[in-house]
Formats: sequence, structure tokens, C-alpha cells
Amino acid sequence: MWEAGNVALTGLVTGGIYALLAVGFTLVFSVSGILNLAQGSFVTLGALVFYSLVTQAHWSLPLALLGALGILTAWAAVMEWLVIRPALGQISYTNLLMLMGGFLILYEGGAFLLWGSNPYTLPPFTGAQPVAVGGLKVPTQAFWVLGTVLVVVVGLWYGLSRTTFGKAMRACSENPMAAELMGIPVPRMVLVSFSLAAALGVLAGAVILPLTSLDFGTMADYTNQGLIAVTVGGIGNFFGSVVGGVTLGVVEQFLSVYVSSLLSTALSLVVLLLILIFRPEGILGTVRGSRLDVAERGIGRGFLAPAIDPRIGRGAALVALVGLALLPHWLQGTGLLRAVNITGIFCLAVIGLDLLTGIAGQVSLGQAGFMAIGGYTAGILAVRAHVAPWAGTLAGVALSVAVALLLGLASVRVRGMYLAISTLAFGILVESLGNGLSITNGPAGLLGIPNFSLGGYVFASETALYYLIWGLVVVALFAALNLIRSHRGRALRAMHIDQAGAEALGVNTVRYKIQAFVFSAVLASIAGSLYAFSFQYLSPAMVGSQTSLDLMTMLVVGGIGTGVGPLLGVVLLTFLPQVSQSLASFKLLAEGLMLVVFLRYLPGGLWGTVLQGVSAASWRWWRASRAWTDPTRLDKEADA
Amino acid sequence: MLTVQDVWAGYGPSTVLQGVSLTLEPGTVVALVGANGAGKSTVLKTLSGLLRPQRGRIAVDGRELTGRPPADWVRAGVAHVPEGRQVFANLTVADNLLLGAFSALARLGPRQRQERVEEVLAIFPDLGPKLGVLAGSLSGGQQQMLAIGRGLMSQPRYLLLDEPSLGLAPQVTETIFAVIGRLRDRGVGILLVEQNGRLALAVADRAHLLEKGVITVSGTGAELLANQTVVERYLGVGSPLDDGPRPQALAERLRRALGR
Ligand SMILES: Nc1ncnc2c1ncn2[C@@H]1O[C@H](COP(=O)(O)OP(=O)(O)OP(=O)(O)O)[C@@H](O)[C@H]1O
Ligand SMILES: [Mg+2]
Repeated sequence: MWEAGNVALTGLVTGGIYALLAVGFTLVFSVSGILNLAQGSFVTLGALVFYSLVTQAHWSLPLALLGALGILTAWAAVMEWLVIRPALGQISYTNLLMLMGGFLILYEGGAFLLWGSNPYTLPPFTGAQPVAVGGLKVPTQAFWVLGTVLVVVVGLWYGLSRTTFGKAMRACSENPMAAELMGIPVPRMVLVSFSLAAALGVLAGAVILPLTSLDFGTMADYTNQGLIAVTVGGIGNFFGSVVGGVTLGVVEQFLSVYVSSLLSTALSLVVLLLILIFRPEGILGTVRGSRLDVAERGIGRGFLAPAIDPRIGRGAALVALVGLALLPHWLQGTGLLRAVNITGIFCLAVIGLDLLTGIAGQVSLGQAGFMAIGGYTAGILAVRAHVAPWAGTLAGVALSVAVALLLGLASVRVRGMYLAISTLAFGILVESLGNGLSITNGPAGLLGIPNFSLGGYVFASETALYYLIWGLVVVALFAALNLIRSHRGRALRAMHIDQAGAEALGVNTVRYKIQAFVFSAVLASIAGSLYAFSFQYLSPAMVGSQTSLDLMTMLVVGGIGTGVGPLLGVVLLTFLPQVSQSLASFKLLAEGLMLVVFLRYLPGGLWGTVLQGVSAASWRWWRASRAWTDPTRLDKEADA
Repeated sequence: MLTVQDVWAGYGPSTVLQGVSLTLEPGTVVALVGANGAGKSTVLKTLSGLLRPQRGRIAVDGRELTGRPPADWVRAGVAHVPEGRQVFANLTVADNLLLGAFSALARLGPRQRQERVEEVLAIFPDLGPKLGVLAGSLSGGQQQMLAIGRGLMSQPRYLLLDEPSLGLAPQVTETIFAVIGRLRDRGVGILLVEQNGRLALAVADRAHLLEKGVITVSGTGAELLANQTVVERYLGVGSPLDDGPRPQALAERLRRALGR
């Protein structure tokens, strides 16, 4: 009995933190329409800054809290002013979402450099002895957490519903244009919402620190939990967010104590997916304005890369092919071939992602989930049932296709931001299954996976693997480029720009979307299988949610929607860290920074920027052959 | 006086307005008519700070406001009631009204806020019983009244109305035109954009025909109504929809409502 009470109490404390996170999401979203994926960072950052001020600067607790609040709210405001505000209305919604993901990675990388990978904790604020309430043993810190949550929630509720300032803030979220006309300074309100959300994170981080231990890796977890909570409650719904957070905390706690902690994460994610698909406004949400269906608006229609003259393209492709064929010969003895192979594996996954996100405009934050499905299916079949690797790979592909069909179907109902959350949840779900199931051998990873083999031939040497992997990359790239240039590719682009419009033109968006999902999943799945075979080992972290974000970064840095470009991103972000260990520790920070900088200033990525430079110098080339990137082509075809 | 001098404006790289000039005197009604897409709403957007002109100057009572954010325009006494109502659907009617006075709220005590709301209710008594309900649950006509009422809360000296009668029943249109007349008599300058060109011209002191971002014909309302070009290009001769007996009768009643 009292045990259940203790479980409930722990759940309530965690739920309180989730509630603060969810409210942070809701605040920013309702004022600006932005899903702030960096929200979870502020919990961890708040806790770490608080920790340092207390233990290193020897400030008193209240002073340290004020200090952390000051530093991080100011930081959030500056980022809003410097990066996010100018980006609003300039870059597409898809890119905005990825930009926020970039901030998450950036903060992770920054915290890793500043605080290392050690987890930190503090003693309770007051009295280390738990207080007995009836038969319950309540840690004193729990009072601090619950008290803070209560004060913040009541205060915010009052502020938003009773004060003019709060009403003005809500007006911004309802109709920014009309709000501007009332003389409400909308940009300033957005800035305030970001700062306020950061403050909520800092408060949560500071009060929870004594009850847990935090390191840079917890940022993504908090973002994920906050997202689940806010989606359950209804994004943009204040009370829904609070209730969603508390419910999630309590349910999770009961499930993990009485059933299993694996099931608790997996179950909450399954529930989330169901809610997203069938009730995207949340359990408590009421359908609200147009924000619910975030379609791509006309703004910043994404980057249109100038196309290359086919003759030059063919020539370059030929040179590249010859180069690829000779590369192992050149690299003989350098030991670099392994890094080249891993790069190739990621190229496969990114080619698919580019078609899905870059061309069809469906953000996927969980693409590594398909790598995990492919890798684990093939790996487990090979290790436990001695199934031939090629057959295991195909089995993985089959499973991935089945899941992609499901996700694709979901994407018919769920769009924009909600789709992004769904894919994120899918990726975490797969990761949590990888960690929790015994068949995968949990976090320790699956050992003893054989080499890839086909018929009697075993791909044991790196050179053999090289030709296998890069052969597949060439085939996949060829298929993707053909698809992009075909009629189907134009339909996908049209869908990206304006789904309703594309439908009105008779584009079967459902079919194309699902096809894009399946294509990308097949490639990711094969990549995952090859990953497992080439390492002869697979762990959930290798194909977890961080890997999904990595894939996204490679895509953006290389040049989203440019077909060939993303491969540059892979080379930059896979090959270099593989080669140099000292670069590896800066990887996260650099990745986040690049994601932010490219999305904000160079939406064409490396490839697009280079192409633009080249085409500016010799615009005659592409003028003659604007092929598939000519936006007016659609109209011309519709006219024909 | 609100003066617009050679304003060029557009969205992104495209230019919609190509050198628009006009003036709005206090206590007058100026009508802006033109086909769909001519740029009428764009004119209003540049006059309320929503859209920054690419070229040209706009001054309110001698103070240049070109390029300033909308808040400055509201404070200078310009209120823009946008096309399509745009009320805050999930806020109550009372809160919608209150936010209309946002730029002045810091200066207003609870008493004065109350007074302003009452003034608006005197103009639109229909809103009285609805103060506590969510604006989204009002009927279209009531929402339009709320939108105008919200605009009046800042006690503007210049009121920009974008298609106030769109989709409204004749009686409601009549109410709104009566309000326009009263505001004009109180010295408010009104820039009126109307789908129903005949109605707008009938009540306007001055009128401009906007075609593809350029003012092509200007004159008094009556002059434009009689102008061959305007009738042919815009009002449409012999169009059965425009020349029915009902609009004529309505225009007559409206003229009377305005006291002319
Ligand atoms: N937000 C916008 N972004 C891009 N172009 C716009 C935008 N708003 C209007 N336009 C374009 O500007 C031109 C003028 O539009 P505007 O809304 O001013 O016309 P209008 O005269 O008010 O028409 P209506 O009578 O239909 O309201 C149109 O060609 C329109 O396509
Ligand atoms: Mg208009």
C-alpha cells in the first residue's frame, strides 16, 4: 500500500518536471508556432549552471538559482533575436523544425565540452532525512519540486488568463497579424516566450538536480518526454500540458515499477503514436485554428538548386565512378578504407532521407529507427538462427517496409510538426526496444554477427565490403536521381510546396508519400544491416535517436533536396570524425553549429552553395537546362 | 491628415503598388475601389505598418511613419480593421475589445477602459450581451462588428476599413454604414475599401480607382459613379448582378442613413 504511495509520489515529482517542460513547449508554440526541440536542453543546462555556481563559485542556493535563470533566459533571448527571429518567415517550416533540432545538438555539444560526460548531482536543498508522512517516506526535495511546480503553474495560469500581457500573448498565438494591428509587439512577445520557456527549464533543472543526476545526454531525453507530455495534453493547451506532464510521469513510474521499465517507455511511446494519429489535438485539446495543421506555407519554398547541364553531369559522374573504382587502390595501406566504408553506409541512409525530407518534405527525426530494424533483424537472424546474411538483410527490408507503410499511412493523417513528432517517437521506440529486449542483448549490444556473405563468397576484407557498399550507393543514388527527375519527383516537390494544391491538381499525395517513406526505409534498413555486418556488432546507441539527428544534419549540411549534395554532408560528418579522434570530441558542437548556420544562412547546403557559385559564374549552362528544379515547369505541364 | 506620397510596395521581390499617392482628411470618407487583386488591401497594409513600402513616404499629421512597426501607427491614431474579421476566436468579446486598446492600456485606468468599452457598445449594442462569450462563437456579422469595435477601442483619428460589408446581410451593412457616417461626423477620417463599389462610392467624399497598383481615376464619389471608365471597367454596365433594383434601393437608404 505505502509502496504504491511512494511510487505515486515519485511519479508525481517526475510528472511535475514533465509538466514544466510541456508548458514550456506550449508557451513557445502558441506564441510563435515553433516546436522548440531545444526545450529539454534548458533543464539540463539550468541544472549544470546552477551546479557550477553552487559548487565552484560558492554562491548560495537562491543566488545561484537567480544566476542560472539570468544567464540562460538572456541566452535564450539572444538566440531568439539573433537566429530564430530573422529565420521566421524566411525558411520553411520543415527547416525551422530542424533548426530547433540543431540548437538541441548545439547545446549538447556545448555542455559536453564545458562539463564533460560526467553526471552531476547536488545534496537536497534542505535536510537530507526524508520526512515521514503517514507511512510514506518523502524526500525533502520532493516538497521543493512539487512546490515549485505548483507555484509556477498557478502563477503562469494567472499571468496568461488574467493579465493584459497574458491576453496579448494569447492574441499573438491566435492571429499574429491582427495582434500586430492592435499595436501588440509580436516579435517581442515571441522573445518573451522563449525566455520564459527557458526559465521554466532552469527552474525544473535546479529543483530536480538533487533527486537525480544529469549529464549532457539527458537533454534529448527531457525534450522527448516533454514532447510526449505536451502531445498527450494538446500542444498549445496550457492545462492539457500540465495534465499531460503529470499523467505521463505517474503512469511511467507505475509501469516501470510494476511491469518493466522497458515496457513503460515503449508503452508511452505507442500511446503517443496513437494519439498523434487519431487525436492530434491531444486528449484534452479542442480543435484550434489553423496552427493545428502546419502545412508548408508559401514562405521560403526551400532551396531550388540550379540543375547541372546533363552533359557536364554525365561527364562528372563518369569521372566520379572511375575515381570510386580506383579509390581502394589509392588508399591501400592507409587504413582509411574502413572509414570510407562507414561513410558509404551512411550515404545509403541519407540518400533515402533526402528523398523523403528534401524532396517530399516529410521531416523524419527517426530515420535511424529503420537502420536499427534492418541491423537487428539481420543480426539476430544470423546470430541466433544462422540465417544467411543476405536473407537476413532482406527480412530486415521486409520488416522496414511494413513499418514504413504504417508510418506512411500515419503521415496521411498527420502532417508537418505532428509527423515529425511521430517519427521521433518511432525512433525512440525502436531504440528503447533495442535497449530493453533480451533478444537484442540490450545496451551491451549484439555480439558475434558474422561477415556479410553472398553465395559462397564472404565479404571479409574491407576492400570487398567497399565494392559492395559503394556499389549499392551508386545504384541507390542513380535510382533516387531518376526518381527526382521523373514525373513522380515533380509530384513530390509539388506536395512539398503545397499539399492541398497538389491534391487539387490531381496528385495522389497519399501514394507518393507512402512511396517516399518506403523508399527511404528500404535504404536505411539495408544500411543498418550492412552496418551490423561490417562491425560484426550492433548496439542500440549506434542506431539510436542521436544517429537520426546525425543523419538529418548530414542532409542539411550537404544540401537538402539536392540529390548528390547530402553525400558531402556524410563525408564531412562521418569520415572526418572517424579519421581524427580529436575532432570527435567537438563533433556534437560542430554538428549543432553547422545545422544552425546552414539552415539559417546557407539553405542549399555545401552542394547548393557551390552550385550557386558555379552557376553564377556561368549561368548560361543551367539556363539552357533548368530541368527539374524549374518551379514554373509544374505550371507549364499543368497547362499542357 | 494622412498623406501617402508615391508609395511602392509589394511582397518579397514582387511589386504590387506602383506609385500610389492619396490623402485622407479628418472627417471625410475616402473610398478605394478596384478589381480583386488590384492592391487595395496592400494599400491599407502599408498605411498601418504591416507592410514596409519599398519606396515613398507616408506621414500621419505631419509625422513621417514610413517603415515603423504597426504599434507606432496605432499610437499615432491609425486603426486598421483588416479584411476577413480576424477576431481572436479563443478570447472573449470583452478581451478582444480590451486588446484593441492595447497601445493605450498602460495609460488607462480600469475606469477609462470601461468607458471605452461602453462607447463601443453604444455604437454596436448587439455586442453588449455577448461580452463574456468567445469571439469565435459570434455570427459573421457580429464578428465584423466586433472587428470594427476593436479597431475603435484605440480611439483612432484615421480608420482603415477593409471590406466591412463582405458577406453581411443588408441590415447589418446598413448599421455599419451608419456607424461610418457617425464616425465621420465626429471627425474621424475613414479610408474605405469595399467589394460593393457602388455603396462605397455613394457615401464617399473622395474616391480613387486602383488598377494593378496604380490609381487611375480620382474624384468625388459621385464623379466616379458617373465616370465612364469606372462604370465600364469596374462597376460593369448592364451586369445583372450589379444593377438589380435592390442594391440601388439599399444605396438610397444608406445615403439617407448617412444624412445626405
Ligand atoms: N501575403 C502576400 N504575399 C504575396 N502576395 C500577395 C500577398 N497578399 C497579396 N498579394 C498579392 O498582391 C496583389 C494585391 O493583393 P491585395 O490583397 O492588395 O488585393 P485587393 O485589391 O485587396 O483584392 P481583393 O479585392 O480580392 O481583396 C495580388 O496580386 C496578390 O496576389
Ligand atoms: Mg483585399
